[in-house]
Amino acid sequence: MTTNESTDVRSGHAEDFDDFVHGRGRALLRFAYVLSGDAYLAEDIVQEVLARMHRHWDRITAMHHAEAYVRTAIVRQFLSWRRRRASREAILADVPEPAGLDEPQHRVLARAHMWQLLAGLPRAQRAVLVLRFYCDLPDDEIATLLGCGESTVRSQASRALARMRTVLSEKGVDGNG
Amino acid sequence: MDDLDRLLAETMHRAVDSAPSEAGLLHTVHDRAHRYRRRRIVTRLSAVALVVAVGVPAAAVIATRPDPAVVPPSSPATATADRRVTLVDGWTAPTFPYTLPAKDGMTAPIASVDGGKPIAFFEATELRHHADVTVTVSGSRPTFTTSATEQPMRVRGKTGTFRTVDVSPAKQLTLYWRESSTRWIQLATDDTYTPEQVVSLADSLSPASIRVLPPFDLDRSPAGLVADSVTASRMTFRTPSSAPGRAGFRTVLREQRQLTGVNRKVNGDDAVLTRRADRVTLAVDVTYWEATLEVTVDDGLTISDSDLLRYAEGVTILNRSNPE
Repeated sequence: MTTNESTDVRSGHAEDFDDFVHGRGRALLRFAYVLSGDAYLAEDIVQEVLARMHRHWDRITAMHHAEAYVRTAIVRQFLSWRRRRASREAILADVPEPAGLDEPQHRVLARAHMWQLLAGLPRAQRAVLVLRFYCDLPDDEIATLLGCGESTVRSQASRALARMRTVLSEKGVDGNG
Repeated sequence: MDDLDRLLAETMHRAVDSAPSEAGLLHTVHDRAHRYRRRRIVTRLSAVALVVAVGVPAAAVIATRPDPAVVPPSSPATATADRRVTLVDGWTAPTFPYTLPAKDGMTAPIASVDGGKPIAFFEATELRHHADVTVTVSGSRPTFTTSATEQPMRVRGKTGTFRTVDVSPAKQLTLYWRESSTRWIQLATDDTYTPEQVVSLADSLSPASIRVLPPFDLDRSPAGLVADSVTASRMTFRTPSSAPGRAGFRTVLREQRQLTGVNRKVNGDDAVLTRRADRVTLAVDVTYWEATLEVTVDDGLTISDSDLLRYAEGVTILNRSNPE
């Protein structure tokens, strides 16, 4: 291969990567934000994952599932990040009392409560819920992505939902409305 | 899907309105990628595999005895019986003893030392036909923490072992063999190359003397100690009789952190000297680098306060360094 050909290949590689970031960057940031619940962390995770993949982009696109691969890496980066900072892991969020609001406001408040509860979940439970309810992935795909069994996915989701249901019920908040 | 499920899905989909903007994302990603490239070039160690497996050869090895391939600093062996460290002027970098033939698409080797093992990193600049190659020399048989398929392979007239770790997007390939009675070599790359090409690479290794590039210039160095690690962020030394990886004299450049209890000045910068029964540490707030330089002496070594300060005053941080 000549130097010019090498340059062309590198240039094409760079354009492909840049196109992907331009086209899918927003979706990835949104996904990372829902996953982490923290805007700064979401940015950091996405930047980290993309920067590490930049050089190997040809390989990743050759797998025909580039975005799925990137999302998997984002989840793993999130789990790893949280693991390194386990001492900062939040306890279940303290939910404020609802104040007998009318329906639309009640719904808004219910979502705010739900977001707080999500923030207080252990990382693995939160990841399962996000993959199931935000990404609409079936349990077998979630299990593959997280590298665990389907039964683990189901038990993590069940535990998280039960916990949330209990807290919301105690606080008199529900999803109706 | 019950009410809770619906509320959960709705909460997540509404929350994205607060997600960070993608403005500037590409620029930041390129910046970070370039930073990693610099780090990779200065020292290509196994730790770069990290969480995201993107085809980086990772070969964690543990050495159990000193490696004769490392040429130690040329300072005279004057460590005294009580293991008090004294200083000598200057420092001579260790060398890596092999190189690969120069070719298009591959950079010249960058050498480092990690845990007593000299390492050379050959970066691929053309990634379709070439891949990064890391060559590590050690005094003992490499050991690995990852499971892999292994097969015997003839290399350089000897029987070697060819390991394949099946990860995406690229399989990690490692070939290792006993080069001599006191030397093992391992060559790590990925499946850009066929097994035959990996063997061919190994066969093409020739004697050389590639100078390790340190992160700092040292006006003074610990007398009688040998270099144990020289990477982008650290230079560590051990006594010749210590096992590789047990470095009692360490100089580490870290990301800047707040110093409390400032009690010294080093070249005008705030510093904290902390002495305990078995360890002394000098942390210097290197303001123009936005980093903290930390010198630690322990593991049975001792040093006077004045020598420790003199040593730190003689450390010049180079552009190729990268705080950890």
